[in-house]
Amino acid sequence: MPATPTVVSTPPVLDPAVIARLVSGDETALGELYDLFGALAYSLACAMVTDPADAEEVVADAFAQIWRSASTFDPSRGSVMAWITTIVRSRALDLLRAHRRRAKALEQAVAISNDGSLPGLSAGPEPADRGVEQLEAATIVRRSLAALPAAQRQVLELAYFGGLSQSQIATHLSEPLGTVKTRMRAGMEKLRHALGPLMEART
Amino acid sequence: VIPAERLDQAAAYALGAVDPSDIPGFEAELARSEELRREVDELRRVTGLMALTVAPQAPPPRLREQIMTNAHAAHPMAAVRSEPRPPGAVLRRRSSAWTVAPWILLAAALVGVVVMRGRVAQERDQRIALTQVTDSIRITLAARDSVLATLLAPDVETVKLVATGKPPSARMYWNRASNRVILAAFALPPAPSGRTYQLWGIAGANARPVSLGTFNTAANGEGRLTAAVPPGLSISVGAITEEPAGGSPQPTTQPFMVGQVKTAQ
Repeated sequence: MPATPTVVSTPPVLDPAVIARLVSGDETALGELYDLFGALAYSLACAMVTDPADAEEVVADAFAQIWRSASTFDPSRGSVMAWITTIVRSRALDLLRAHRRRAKALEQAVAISNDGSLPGLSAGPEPADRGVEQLEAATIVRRSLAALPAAQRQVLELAYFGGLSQSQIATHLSEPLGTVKTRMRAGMEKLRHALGPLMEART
Repeated sequence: VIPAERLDQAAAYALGAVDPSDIPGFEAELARSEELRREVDELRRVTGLMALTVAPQAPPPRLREQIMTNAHAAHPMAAVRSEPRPPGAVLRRRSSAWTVAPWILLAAALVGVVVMRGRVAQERDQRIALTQVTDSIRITLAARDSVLATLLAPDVETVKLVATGKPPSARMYWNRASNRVILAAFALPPAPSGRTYQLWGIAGANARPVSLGTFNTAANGEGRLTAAVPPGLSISVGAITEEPAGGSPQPTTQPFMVGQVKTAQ
């Protein structure tokens, strides 16, 4: 990560050496990784599970997995952030399944409306402790997601934050499965196009 | 070019939304197609960025302490041998770590080999070595899942393909339910340079052979092919020919191994 604040809009970038140190069993490397991504991991967990104690358990589990399986991370195949958020999301869904609960995002979506949005995901002020690069990136991603047709955004959010499979989304929305698949791919394509510069800047 | 259906699945896979019953099939395809893997990798970067849209929450300071305590009690995978998990570690789900144990040891060895080199070269080598190991694990596991799913089904046809002499031999398993075949060849020397072996499924006496895919064997004479059977093809005979690299639309040489499906319809 650059030492000086920058206006370049990129997610946090980790010194690759940190991963090498992590693989070699250097505990301080895990601390550095947590300092950079811990708040994001916790925020994601909070968006998916209702109880803050559960969110803590999710993040602790996720970082235990990160610590144990650092050697399976492949920098040529994806970003550290994608790796970490994938693990956090999986652990959150595991916890929800174990407790037979629905994802928080899904509860909210059901409780509030069918307008296509998942309230609460992007609400709230930005805290000061999130890095300037992460803030910039968050704004871009949020804007790009908001720019999608509501129906496309909805299936993306139900899948990612709600943990629903395509068939479950189809049932949930009373839409044909084919429609859900088409919307999902179209939404991902648009998002990829919109976030292209962000992804290139980071790699 | 990736078929549209696979692109749909790739988007869903990056979102973790592929229906469970479709996952083995997709992952088997993923293991085969570097192009599809690249697509999924890129889509995963997109979903990784989606996490940035959640409302920020500050974690309690005790969470960091807990994570560091857990880490101190556990070992990273590269350092793990077969000892039981240390007490106090939070991980409750052990997943299937044992299946990758040899690769972990290999990873550890590869990492060990480069220790004496310069720091920059060392990190680069580690990354390359780990990339290779990870790719191997990913491909091996996906392929194994696919093989097991194909073999462990009630309605599987077994076809023994034999040559005129004794070796080589091959066995073809056709899972009618999932419409997939696995071919395992033995004692078959690798195809000459610029050539490949191609497996054909033939429906009946006058039917045109339908390609089920190409394969080659390793130096030890063993080779394996996992393939989807085109919908509607009821195989009564399996045959192997030698073809130009990349395979042929129709056989250009006489089959040197053939076998009949025992209970062909």
